[in-house]
Amino acid sequence: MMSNIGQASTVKTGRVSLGRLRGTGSLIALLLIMVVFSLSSSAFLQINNLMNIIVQVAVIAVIASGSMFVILTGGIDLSVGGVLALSGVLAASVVHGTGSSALAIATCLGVSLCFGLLAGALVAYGRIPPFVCTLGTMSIARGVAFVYSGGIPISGFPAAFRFPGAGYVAGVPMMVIIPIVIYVILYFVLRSTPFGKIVYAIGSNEEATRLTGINTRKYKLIVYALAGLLTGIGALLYIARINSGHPGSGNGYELNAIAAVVIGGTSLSGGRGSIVGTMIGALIMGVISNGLNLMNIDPYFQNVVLGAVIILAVMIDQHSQK
Amino acid sequence: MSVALEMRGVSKRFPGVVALDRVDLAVAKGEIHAIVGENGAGKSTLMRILSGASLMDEGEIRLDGAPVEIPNSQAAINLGIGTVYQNLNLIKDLTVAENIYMNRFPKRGAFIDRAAIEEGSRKVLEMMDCAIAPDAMVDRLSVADQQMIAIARVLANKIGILILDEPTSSLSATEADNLFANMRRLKGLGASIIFISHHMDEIFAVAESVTVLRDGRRVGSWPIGELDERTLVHHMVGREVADMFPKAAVPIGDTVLAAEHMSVAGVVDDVSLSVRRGEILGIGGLVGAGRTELVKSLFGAIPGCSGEIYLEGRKVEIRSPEDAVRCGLAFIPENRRDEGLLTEFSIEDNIGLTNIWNLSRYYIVNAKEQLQITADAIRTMDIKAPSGKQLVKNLSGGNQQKVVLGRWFSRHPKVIIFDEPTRGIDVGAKAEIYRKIGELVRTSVGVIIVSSELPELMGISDRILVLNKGRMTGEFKRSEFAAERIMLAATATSLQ
Repeated sequence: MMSNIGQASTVKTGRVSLGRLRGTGSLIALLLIMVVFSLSSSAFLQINNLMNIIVQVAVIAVIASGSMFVILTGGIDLSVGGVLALSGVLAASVVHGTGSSALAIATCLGVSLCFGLLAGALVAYGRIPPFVCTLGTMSIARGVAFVYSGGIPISGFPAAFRFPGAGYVAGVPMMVIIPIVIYVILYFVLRSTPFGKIVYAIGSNEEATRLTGINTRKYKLIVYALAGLLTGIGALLYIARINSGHPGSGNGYELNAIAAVVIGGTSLSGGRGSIVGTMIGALIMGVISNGLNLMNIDPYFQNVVLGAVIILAVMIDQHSQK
Repeated sequence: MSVALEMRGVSKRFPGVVALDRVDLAVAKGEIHAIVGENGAGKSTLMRILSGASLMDEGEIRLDGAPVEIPNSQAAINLGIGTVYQNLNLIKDLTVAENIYMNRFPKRGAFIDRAAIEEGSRKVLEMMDCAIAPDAMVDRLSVADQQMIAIARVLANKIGILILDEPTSSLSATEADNLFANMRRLKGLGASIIFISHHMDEIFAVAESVTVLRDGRRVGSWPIGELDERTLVHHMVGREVADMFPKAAVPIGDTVLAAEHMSVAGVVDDVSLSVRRGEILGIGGLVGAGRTELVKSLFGAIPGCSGEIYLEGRKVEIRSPEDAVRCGLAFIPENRRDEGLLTEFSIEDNIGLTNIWNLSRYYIVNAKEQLQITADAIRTMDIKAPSGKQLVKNLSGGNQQKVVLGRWFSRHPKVIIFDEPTRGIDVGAKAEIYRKIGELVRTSVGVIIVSSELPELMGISDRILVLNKGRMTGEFKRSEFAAERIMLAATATSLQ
């Protein structure tokens, strides 16, 4: 028997149908959208295309999982795009300079983890509001990426370095395996570990959680560090896919990650949300983008659709709270 | 006296519960009428219907004999019904005058007529004999003054019926008297006043008639002269609540907690205290005396504090609630909704949080053990809820408080600190909490209680420490308890 932390309210009201909608609703929405697209284009449901969607979605999904943890504690992480770029650029430079893929991977993860720790320390101990803080670290990361690389992308990597993103295991792309493994682990963490419950508790009422003797600052630091690390993993996937470390990469990814989290039903005020929802949110975004592409719809119009979907998702979330 | 307000056969249902069942109410013109009842009796629901915040399912409301409809808050104000809620709803970053005229600023062309709102505010405040300046910032005012402004805001409209919901819960005795004087003044001007209260002394001080609700039904209405405290409580609770403060003789052991020279910057000044096993130490004083800050400093919950704490004779460093809990302290905060509970979560999750690491092996929370701890807590504290999965926001105040207390049990704390343990809790639940506290001390726990209710403090404490303006101004043993002495210490400037 599971406790009901983070799930929709169990109060029986006339509007309970909407409350349950939040949980299963994003899944229904995803399926509906897929039905619509499969009807409008025969190419949609082919295995190749579906794999394509997951690969395209993989980077955002991995980053969004970290953002979700931050948002669950009532915070927000705007730095992911910049950190992705910097981690990628430095890792690319290391692999070119030393030839060691292992060292380069370690650099990528190390840099992103450090930025996560920095943001976490500022938010948890410096008490700087997360929005402002991560806006700052985003700019710093992006800036350092450009300064270090001189604005020039670093391309061409050995297979070992690209393996985490471009490799295959038993015929399945790593781009599919890695996000799924991450989500399974995080699902378990949020559902059944003390850490997971504390994350939800902090988002719901940080002061009350603190007064039960839990060191809320420490956990907030850990959450931002975790988000940083996941951004680093996302950077590895990204750099493998485009085979280039570019200081301008990941532009706008923070908003995409937040969109995935929100569409998946997580509340921006913290304390509520499911990781499965975040995956579905990322998939919805990927499916819409892919489907509209197959229908030859103007890529810019996709942004309009995305915006509408985000607003709709938040409206449903608000309504189910009444 | 003519009838100003009549409510007949008012019923209101929420899914799963009947909040009001054909309730009648009659209030005469210029009368001060108290609505009294346990938590969940329906008092707030009835008032919300009158103030337009809620719609009744059945019933009739008549003002001065004529039937009226109150579909929303604006309609209520237009009908001359003004309501001051417990949470005041003031805008902290604006001035007094701006708050008073919030929804209907007089204008000069496109701009707010500042002179008019200052003048109008001054008039209303004068009428209330209140010395607050119209251009004062609301967030600088004390809670009592803010309440005055909330009332002034209502009175700035033409009001025939004023509704006050638990008006004195954050006021000291003098401030409450001030409020009562204002209520009598308003009555003199022809307004009827309805107020909801739990406090016996208040009801008997100012009400002229009383209506008692229980479980959504009207038990009856009486002129105050026909009631005494015991009978009124009996009507509220439906049974005799004998012996409110069951003070049993409990063997008092050695000192479990000693604190020396506790200071909190600007609020608490060099207070030393000690608690022994099995003892209840009461901390009294007026609102603002620094009592909450003092006990929070013992729990490591407040920054900027200094002093030495000794647990069972050994010096300990308590710099955070985490340290405090590890040393065996427990804290039940003043404001259970903001500081004590995760309101959107279940009883089970709230109770589990304090013990979250104890409940897990290899980083996984043991769901079965969590259920067990929850069941134990519900049983020990006698929490009335359909199951441990019930969300705490749906519990009554008394049951919520029991959840806050219950979560500490499985940690076997050595010292439990309560800050206003029975605030906002009805009579029946209060007695239960006192009983629980009594049971606790029998297990050799040391208890510290901060309370603004003198009868409560005197009823359960073994010793009372009094604070005024951050300093200790009195210490009394149980045999020396006397209300006047304690009040005197609360207003004194040096140790009595």
